[in-house]
Amino acid sequence: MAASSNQSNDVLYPMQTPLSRADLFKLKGGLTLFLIGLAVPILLLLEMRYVVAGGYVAPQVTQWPAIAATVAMLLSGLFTVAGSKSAKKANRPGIVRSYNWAILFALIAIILIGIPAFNGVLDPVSHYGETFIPTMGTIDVYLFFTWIGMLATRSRVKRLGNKIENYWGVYATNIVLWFMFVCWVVTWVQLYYL
Amino acid sequence: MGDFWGFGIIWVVLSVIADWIASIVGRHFYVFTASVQAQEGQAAASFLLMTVVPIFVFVVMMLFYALFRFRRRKGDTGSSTSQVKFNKAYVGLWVTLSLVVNLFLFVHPTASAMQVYWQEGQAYNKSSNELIVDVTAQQWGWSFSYPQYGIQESVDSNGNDVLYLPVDRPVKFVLNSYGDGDGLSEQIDVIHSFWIPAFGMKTDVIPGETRYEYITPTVISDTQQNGMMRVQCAEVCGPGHPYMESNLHVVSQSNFASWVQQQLKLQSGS
Amino acid sequence: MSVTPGNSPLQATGELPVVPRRRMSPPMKGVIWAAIGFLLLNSIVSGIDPDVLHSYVNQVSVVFGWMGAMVGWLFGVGGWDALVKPAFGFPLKWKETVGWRRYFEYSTDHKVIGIQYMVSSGLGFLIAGIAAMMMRLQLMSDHMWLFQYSKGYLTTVGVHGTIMMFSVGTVFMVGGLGNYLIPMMVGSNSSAFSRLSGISVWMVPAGIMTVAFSPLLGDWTTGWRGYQPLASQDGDGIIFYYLGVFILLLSSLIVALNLVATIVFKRAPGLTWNRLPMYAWGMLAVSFLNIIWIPEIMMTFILALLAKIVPLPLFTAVGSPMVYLQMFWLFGHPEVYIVVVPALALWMEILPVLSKKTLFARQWGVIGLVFVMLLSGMVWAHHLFPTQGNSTILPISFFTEMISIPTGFAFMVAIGTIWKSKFTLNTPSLLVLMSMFNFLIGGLTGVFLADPMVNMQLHDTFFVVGHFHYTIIGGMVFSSFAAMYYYLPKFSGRTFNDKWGQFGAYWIFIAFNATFFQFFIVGLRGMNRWVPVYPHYLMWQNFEISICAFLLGFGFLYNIGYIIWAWVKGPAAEENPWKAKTLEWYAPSPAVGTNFETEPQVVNGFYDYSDGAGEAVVFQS
Repeated sequence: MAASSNQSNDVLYPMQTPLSRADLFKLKGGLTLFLIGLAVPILLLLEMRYVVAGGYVAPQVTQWPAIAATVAMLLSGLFTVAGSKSAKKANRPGIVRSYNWAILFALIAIILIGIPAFNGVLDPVSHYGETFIPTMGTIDVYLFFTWIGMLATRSRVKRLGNKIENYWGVYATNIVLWFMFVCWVVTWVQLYYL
Repeated sequence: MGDFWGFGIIWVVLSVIADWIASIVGRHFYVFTASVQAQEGQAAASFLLMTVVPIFVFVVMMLFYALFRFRRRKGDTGSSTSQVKFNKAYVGLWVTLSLVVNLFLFVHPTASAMQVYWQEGQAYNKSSNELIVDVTAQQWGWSFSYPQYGIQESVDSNGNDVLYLPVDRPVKFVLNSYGDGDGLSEQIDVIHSFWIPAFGMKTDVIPGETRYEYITPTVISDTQQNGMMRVQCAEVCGPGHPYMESNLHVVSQSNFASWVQQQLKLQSGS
Repeated sequence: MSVTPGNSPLQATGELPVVPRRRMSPPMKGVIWAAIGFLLLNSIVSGIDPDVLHSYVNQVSVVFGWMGAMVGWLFGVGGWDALVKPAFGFPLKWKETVGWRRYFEYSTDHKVIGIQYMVSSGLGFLIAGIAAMMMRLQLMSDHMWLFQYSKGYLTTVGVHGTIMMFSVGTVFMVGGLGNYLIPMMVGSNSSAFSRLSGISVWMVPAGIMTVAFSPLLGDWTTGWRGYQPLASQDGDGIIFYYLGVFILLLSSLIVALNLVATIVFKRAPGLTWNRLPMYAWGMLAVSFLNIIWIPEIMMTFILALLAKIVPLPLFTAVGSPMVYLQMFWLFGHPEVYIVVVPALALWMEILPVLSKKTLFARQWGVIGLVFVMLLSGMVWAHHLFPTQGNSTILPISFFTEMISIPTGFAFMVAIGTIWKSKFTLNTPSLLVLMSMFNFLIGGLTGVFLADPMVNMQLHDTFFVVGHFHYTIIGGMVFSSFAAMYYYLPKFSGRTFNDKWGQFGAYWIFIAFNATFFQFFIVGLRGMNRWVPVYPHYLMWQNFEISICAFLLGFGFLYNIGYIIWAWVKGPAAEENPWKAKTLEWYAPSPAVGTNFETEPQVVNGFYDYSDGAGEAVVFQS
């Protein structure tokens, strides 16, 4: 995730400099812009589904992985929230513990979302299938990069130890994961029920 | 104030001269017009030219003023004596004028010319005299059929597809992409654009859709006499795109009738 | 140019940055890692592909192979050591070097990054320029002679357009000048996300190379727009078109995020929105456009790529061919404003300085830039007048005509500033006037194209080609040259001989107008686009246009060469040769190392040249 580069000398290390209010404001603003950018392709895909396939939902589409993935992502999100809470108290082992679980559930969610897209039930040459697969695939790719970000955050907290001066990385990971959760729920509801 | 009036007078004089030239040039804007629709487009373009020329003169004159009149003299290092930051009259006039000119251009010729074109299409459809030509675009060629006369595919003596049209008779082109449209074949054909430069009109041909174009040819001519009298694909459609053209002949009504007979004979013979 | 170690941004750590022990140059390492990445992923995908008949490098495997190569390249060039490993908390072994080597490795200095962007973009300009010269050579005759088949010509058209749009038009004035100037202009020592920015610049050469080498995979004939359904049945080179554009756009997206965050969050004290420099306003408007529309087109290109390699029937006759066209131009028209808004902003930046007169009606200039940004999302379908149904033509035509109003504000401000000024006539100011002239013609011919009835004749002809070359070369490229001459003292501490600079400016101006004004005429005479062969009656005019085009090509070479010469060998320049008041001129020239040793405080607007105006900036020690 984004890191500070204020007037300090150590421009190349994240999480090792204390953040001023202005720095934090900048990081939050930058992250917001980034998430706006990330939301655009999802909107495009949702729009395209109605253009190409209308409101049709293929009856054979696999239901259970989507529901299970939602639960997994929710659990993952709850654990990143717990991570953020630990970060407020600078409880580093607590962050790592929470992230172990969060990373596990996020991985499960990635696999689960991949199942209905790639288990071969839907014909990619049908109108519903040709929008369903790219949309689910995009969410999965987003989630995969979020997952790498979670791994990085965990590893950073573990390795940098008491050299950490700010926990923005932990908060940011939490925000991104919840953003992904919202994207996923919107996509899921739209593709399966609307 | 001197600069203001000087500029204004020169601008008016130059604009009048330039508009006079534009009125002559504008008449040849389309280079060669051979249909009612091309003449309408030509009129619209000529009107636009006359409108934009004074704007062009205004800005370019200002650039020349910067180059000569307001140029910093040698040895002068000071700031400009005039430091005006805002001028209500100038900005107000500029904003109002640009709004008015644009709205005006939208009403005429933009909306009015489109209106005329659409009304022509409706009138042609009601007219009993309308000639229907089915045009099929395919990578990379055009084929033309005349359902009213039973001509399935018109060809010239070399066997190439050719378009014959009678002069002064409304024509409705029905534009389709090649393919049976059964929805089974994945790639039926690509987008083409049906363009006859001398007719001043082009319409894209979209796979899976039907488009119409309405034309009344007004000049007897053909591709050999004038290069703009040709059917040309205007939208890139693959390696054969540059070669996707057909010959066009606009002939008198009687010549057209005999051409139809000859085509029918050719068709039954083969 | 020389760099004293004391000026390096790393100086304050207490250890002098030293050129480390001999190590492989980062770009070389990047190339090797890229090769490994390609082979690895291509082999894996090729290996698990159940189709036994495929070749080793096939449509699907080459996509994954390319991804591997891109990751390898970005990691090798510095991303792994300086970005990924620290992100995982590993100790950092990366040291920024000094001297010319800085420009060939990962850097977090926005000035180094800006120059890297400009040079990469200039490389793209040369490659795409060579493609243009090849096209003009072919068009000297009405039959095939330079290219054997028309698809070779059409591929050249595509490579020319793609590289010009996505690595020059979108990049030079935003990624290049923007990265270099914006942090200085807002009084900051670094950009907001400098580490991210340091890696995004390396995507540009990779993207250019991907597009430039796309013919290796097979010819593609769609031009820079990649229209479906043609693209789906085109040669495999189109895959590299999608991928190359994708990575170039990703780079521009990162630039946009970085610039917006820098302008919004890193302004010096006292630099209120009312005092923000015009170029910063331009960058802000452009970057918002980028943040909205670049993800849109990236997703569209991924869909088109899937439609090619899976294949999905999304955009074919059984799907909806028009959907791709709409999605492309939804981005495509904002794109042309992404190209030209920086140029408009630059006029307003340079003119008050060189005419020593207060910027006229500043707020209207800003309103113009912002409204161009807002309206640009509503005009896309005028690229489809002959394509779409009749019912949607008029609203689109309405907004198309309306967008000329905010664009006109840039002229209003520029003219108001020139009026009764003391206009210093030198190379940059001359180029700005030329740019205004060219863009005026580009804009006024746009009035014809915005009219649907006239558009039905002009669409897809050389008239359109002339129109957009007038806006892009005439507007953006001429302004870029103006900026290069204007900021040369800042970049290099050296200046140019005005006589030779003006000579170059007149050269490209005359050759440009001789070439592209004839495009209008030849288009009206019936010359359509994307054709290497054409009816014989157009041949002599095309021959003559080609001669002018070659003159223009050499003119660009002359100017680039002269700027490089002046950069290296030109006479030494003063600190602030134009007596400008904007913040970037308070930084040292050449700008190396820290921009501002003490934090600047903005106390006045930058564009007030009246006698009692006072300094715009004070430094508190």
